Amino acid sequence: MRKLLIFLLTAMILILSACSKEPDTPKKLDNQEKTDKFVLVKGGTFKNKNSSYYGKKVTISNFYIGKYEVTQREWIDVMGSNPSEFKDKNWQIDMASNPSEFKGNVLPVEMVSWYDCVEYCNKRSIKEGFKPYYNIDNKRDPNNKNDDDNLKWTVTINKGANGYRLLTEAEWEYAASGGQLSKNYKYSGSDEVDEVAWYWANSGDSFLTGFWNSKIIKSNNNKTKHIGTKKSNELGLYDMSGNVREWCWDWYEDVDSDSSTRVLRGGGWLGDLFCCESSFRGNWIANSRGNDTGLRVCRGE
Amino acid sequence: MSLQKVIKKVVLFLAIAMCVSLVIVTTNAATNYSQNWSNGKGKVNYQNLSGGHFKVSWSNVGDFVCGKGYNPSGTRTMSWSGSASNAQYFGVYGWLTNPLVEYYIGRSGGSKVGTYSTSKGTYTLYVTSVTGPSIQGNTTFKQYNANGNKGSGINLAEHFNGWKKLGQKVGNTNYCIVSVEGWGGGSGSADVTVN
Repeated sequence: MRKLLIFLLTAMILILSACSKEPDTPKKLDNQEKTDKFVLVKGGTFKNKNSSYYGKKVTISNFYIGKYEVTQREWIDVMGSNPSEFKDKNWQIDMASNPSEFKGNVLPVEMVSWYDCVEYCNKRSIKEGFKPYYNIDNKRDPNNKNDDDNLKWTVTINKGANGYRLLTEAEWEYAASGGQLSKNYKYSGSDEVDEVAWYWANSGDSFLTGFWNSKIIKSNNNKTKHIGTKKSNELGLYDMSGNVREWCWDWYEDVDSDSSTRVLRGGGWLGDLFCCESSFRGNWIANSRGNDTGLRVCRGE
Repeated sequence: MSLQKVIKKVVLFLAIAMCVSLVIVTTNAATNYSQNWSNGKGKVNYQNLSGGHFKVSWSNVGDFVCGKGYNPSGTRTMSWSGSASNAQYFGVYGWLTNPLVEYYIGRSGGSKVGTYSTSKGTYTLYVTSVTGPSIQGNTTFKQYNANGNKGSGINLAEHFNGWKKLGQKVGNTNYCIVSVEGWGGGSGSADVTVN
């Protein structure tokens, strides 16, 4: 009898503690790591001898980076729409009727401007319980000297916020070039571009040769590819080289330039192979949208 | 003969052989870019022949471009023999980076910037802004159109210098080809050898 009482009491205590409500806490990034979507990048100075930052006093702090480019599905879940060009006409029906097989689960989002991306970061942060990293003000930014940018939003950083954000281009190059585990590759994960990158020559029906040619690319059905289908780099990151180009935080130009564009890194399915080099700096006007332009997100540790 | 001496002779022979083969490869690397073509609209029959030689014929064509040339072009003189009939464009075409520029030497297009002299006469430079596909992906870039003598013997150094004198930026060279373009449902042919 006494043993039964002790058992019942123990059981009650256990049940009660399990039922007690805890305040909602944001999903820890460790869980995201465990679900295989994020990787912790150990910071430090640049190890890759091909990097433009090699030998310079630039130190990167630890940060969590998406293993893959942001997918159409991840975009839809936050923004409620799919702006991408490379999607099926009936994508909404496909997604609703067979969500696990939906192609947008594995295709990178594209046709997103830099402004769309900072908005996405903030909205995703709010959705997942993190503090938004950006302050976005529609007020025209006096530092933006690009007359072709019809938005010129003023975007600043909330220091100490733990929300999602774009990588700085130094962080991007650090991660792409292999971080502390770098093997000095030219492209992210290899010296052979075809091992790691989808770019103009290999992203269509036939392998294209000769000089880059937009008309042949069009007739060859070149397009974005499923994420993670090429070899990863030293840190386990996929498609840093190729597939879609990735918006970064930084202005491309020096402060005294008469133009203002934002940095794009990594090259994409459309451009030539030199754009896939980890050290290559691309750029575009911040309000621009292209079918080869998307993003990757990160968060501070 | 001692082993040491034999080894020295072999090494010397190999070194000479490598130097000779390097020279051969360099001079034969002349036209190092060619192109294969297939088209969805109309018919384009492109033949990639030896060296700098190519032939192309087309009918009811949607849009195509083909040609041969160099990458990087450097400041070389583009010269060729042969001809094209009914092409929408037949002439020198190329790209620069830092900043990104697409150029045609043999047509007008855009706002007139000014004129400059070359060994093949005076050219008028037009510049326009393009947003669309480029060697760096979709982006916004300048297009330089230099209108003047389209014939063989285009000295790129003269054109690059002319553009700089007109205040236009000229960065690093990328590819430059002698190109044949057709569009708008046309039919035609070309037989060209790039030197």
